[in-house]
Amino acid sequence: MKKQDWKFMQVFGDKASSDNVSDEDIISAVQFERTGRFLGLGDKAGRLIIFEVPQNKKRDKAEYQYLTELQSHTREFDFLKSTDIEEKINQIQWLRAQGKNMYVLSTNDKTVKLWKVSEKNVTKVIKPSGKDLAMPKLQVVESGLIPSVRKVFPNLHNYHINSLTASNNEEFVLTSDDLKVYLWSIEQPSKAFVAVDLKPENLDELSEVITSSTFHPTLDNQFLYTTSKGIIKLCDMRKSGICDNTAITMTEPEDPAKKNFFTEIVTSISDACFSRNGKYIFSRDFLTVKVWDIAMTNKPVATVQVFEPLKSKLCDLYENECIFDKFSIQSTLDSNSFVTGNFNSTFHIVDRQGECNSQYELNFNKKTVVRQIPPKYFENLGSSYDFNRKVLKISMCQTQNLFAIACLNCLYFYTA
Amino acid sequence: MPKIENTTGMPINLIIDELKSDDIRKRIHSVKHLDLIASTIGPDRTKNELIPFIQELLDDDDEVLIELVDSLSRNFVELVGGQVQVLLPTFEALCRVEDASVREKAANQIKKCLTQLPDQKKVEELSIGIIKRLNDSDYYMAKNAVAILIPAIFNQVSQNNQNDLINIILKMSQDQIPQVRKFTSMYFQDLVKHFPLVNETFIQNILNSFIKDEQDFIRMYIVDALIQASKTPFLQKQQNFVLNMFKQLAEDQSWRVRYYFCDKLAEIGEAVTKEGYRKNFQNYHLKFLQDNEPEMKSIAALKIERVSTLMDPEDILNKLIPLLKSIQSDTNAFVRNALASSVLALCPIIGKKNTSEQILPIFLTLLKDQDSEVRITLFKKLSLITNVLGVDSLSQSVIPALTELAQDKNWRIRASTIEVLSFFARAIGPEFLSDKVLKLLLDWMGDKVFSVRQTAIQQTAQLISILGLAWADKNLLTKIWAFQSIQNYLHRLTVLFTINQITSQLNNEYIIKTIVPILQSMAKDSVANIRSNVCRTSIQLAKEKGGNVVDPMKKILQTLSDDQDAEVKYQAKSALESL
Repeated sequence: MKKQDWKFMQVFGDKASSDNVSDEDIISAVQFERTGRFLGLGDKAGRLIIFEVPQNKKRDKAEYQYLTELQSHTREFDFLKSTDIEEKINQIQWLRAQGKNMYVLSTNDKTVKLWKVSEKNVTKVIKPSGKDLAMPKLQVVESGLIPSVRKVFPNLHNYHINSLTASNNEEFVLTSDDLKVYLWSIEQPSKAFVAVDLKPENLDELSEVITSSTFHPTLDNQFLYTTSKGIIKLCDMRKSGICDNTAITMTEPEDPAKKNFFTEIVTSISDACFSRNGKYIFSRDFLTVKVWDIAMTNKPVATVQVFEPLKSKLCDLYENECIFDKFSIQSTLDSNSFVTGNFNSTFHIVDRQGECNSQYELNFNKKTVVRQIPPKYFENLGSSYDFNRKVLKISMCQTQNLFAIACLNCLYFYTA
Repeated sequence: MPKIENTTGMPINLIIDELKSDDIRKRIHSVKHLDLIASTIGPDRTKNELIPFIQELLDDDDEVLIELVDSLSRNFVELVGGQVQVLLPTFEALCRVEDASVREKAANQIKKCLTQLPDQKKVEELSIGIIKRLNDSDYYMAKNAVAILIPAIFNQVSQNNQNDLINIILKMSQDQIPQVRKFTSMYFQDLVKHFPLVNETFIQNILNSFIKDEQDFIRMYIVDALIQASKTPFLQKQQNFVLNMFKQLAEDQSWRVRYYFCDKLAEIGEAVTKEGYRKNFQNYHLKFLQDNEPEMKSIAALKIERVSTLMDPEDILNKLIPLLKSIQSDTNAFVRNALASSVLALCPIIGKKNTSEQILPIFLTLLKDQDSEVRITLFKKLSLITNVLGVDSLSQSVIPALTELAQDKNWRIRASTIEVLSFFARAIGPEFLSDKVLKLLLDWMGDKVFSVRQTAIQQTAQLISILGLAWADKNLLTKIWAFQSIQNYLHRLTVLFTINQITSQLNNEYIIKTIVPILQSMAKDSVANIRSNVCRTSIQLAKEKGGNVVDPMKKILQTLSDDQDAEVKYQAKSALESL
């Protein structure tokens, strides 16, 4: 397999702002638009920020520029449960652009919204209709990219939405919360279909929750979902209505000898994705990445320790609650490697067989800082190892070797 | 046309201004009254000023656009002085919006407008223009309208244009965007109707490319296209092709496509005739009844009613009924419910003896189903089995089941059960409404829950309209009037509400003889609420019935206008004034 050479390309953000980052600026979602021309960013303050590659520049010198932003969600109060509904954007999905109009789905914990951003002229009445019943005279007061909400998907989820994916044919949206996976029709947001229901008869018996879900990159009838017990289920909507019973299960049984207090927590899958060619599944739990071949579902083809030194720090990580952080994972375009984040402003790119683990360090010097992590690696993580600098969100471009990766309030681009 | 009256309470110029209001509700309100504006300013100004101004509204929210297309569909042709083509650009622009219902309505309005143009050449010119512009648009959603319009005007245009339209459809059917292929598939059934103007090869090519499409919603609609094709000579010419394609859809790996196929089984049967159905598709239906997917069993069970008319009674007995035994005990309530709604349709077909032996056991099992919806559905179709087996033999099993439902803990179930009574009355007749059943109705009228009482009152009105006042009076009403002496005032109110509900069915004679004494006595009731309702009932009777009823009502109201309760006094006085 040809090894890819990933290099730093661009960064939004600087050291000063990163040192004093306010909570609300933390990036909580990143997603490329399908052609790679646009990139959407969501933050804890509920803002959706859009970047674009200006069309007139040459392709290889293409750099992203800020285009526009909108307030996607605001803080709400759930009267029934007496809790706040955070405005933090959990996930973003792009739909096909039409003409000059962009369509973006964004979701917080409870509500999915479809936004349209278009070149519009906002007009105002400057001379109203009078006795003669003439039509009002209008004047353009604002011109440019104006966002508007096209559809709101009614609050169906009882628990927090953890994933949002649009199918390739853009007919359906898949959302999942702790217990259910719903299939929505984009055309008619009032109709949702339960695809998976993990609710037990007796809620006291609850032992497993859904942690993420995603559609297959090309086959619109297949999707996967992952659970807190480290199980991946591959479902086919063609086989049955409620997909749980006919799903293919992928899980590695626990080794009872290695079980400890933290095992249950670290086996929970934080994110999983299909490889671009749809043949493999990469699943990320706290310490490892498992590579599954869909044609062989009894065991993973590879299990990669992302960064072994963390194993000895599990007590500290439990104390500072970083053990519950959810790292995302993305497949490279050639399906031969995956990219996933880590602490201390680092991320890893590893090949599919788990042989070559490269750790990159995000920095503001526009340099590509990379080192190889050999298997069975140990390092004493000193006090300078910053658990707050978490690299949680990544998005891979679907048309070229380029990905966007976020750490706190800064966005980096790497290209190969 | 006559001028439209302004009932909005607002001046017209304000309505016009609010078309661009910041408040969406005001915009919707103004858009609803576009016809009022148009009617006031007249056809010329509508044509020259209002219609161009509507262009400014096209960028609005979906809610406003839905209202807009409805508003323009109402009578705008007249409002523009009959000049239909003036409206076409607006509808064409509405074909490009995101909301599918707006696009479809707009496209259908264009169809309607084109039919109203007398000049055929003009129709051809305008329609081809619209179709080509929408097809070339940046907005791929606009192709939705193209798929709708092409079949509508296909047979009215020249050979050359027809070839162009065929090419557009061919390109759309292979578009890389799935929604575009979906539009083509959905409306292909309308194009197929034009066979042989659209030739065999074309139809086959398109259907062959659709059946290989990976998207379920594209393969699904082939069913409709094949049904339409079967209604034309295409079926004779290409019978094998049609049957094979139907079979592929029936065996499709996606259950949603099989579901759609099953849903249309009756239409398919009608198109290919009974022999064709029995030979080719009957087995699929029987297979669907045993499918693993509950949705499939459900739709197959639902269709029993209609496909039974296509089947040979022997086959029904030997092949269909044995399968129903496992369905009646299916774990999924929706499946059992579907069975309950259609199994009784088999009774008239297989005759008395077979019904008694084969269907009756199923019927009795479903009657005891734990899900009340299933039982209620069964009741609604009761007449089908009573017609064959007779009411008496069944009342022994039916009445206890009905009684159990009537006393269910859940008030919604009690309310739904009441509605079943009018089914009985209509289909079976008064014999079924024996003393026991009527007692149930009276119990419902005395139910704790208001909604149940209300439904019971409404049912009483229904029964009167079906069975007549004389029957009702003898069997039912007299007992209701007895509620007057119940201690709980809520039940005494029932008497008045009943009178209100059945006013239209009472004749004046009956009112004077029976109702007036009731009202006179209740006007002296100790509870003010009752007396207040007496006022309401009295004024209603007086106004609706008139004639010799008015005087007695006036007298009652006069006594009440001296009532000690202020509310009652006021009501009585204003009632008298209005008379």
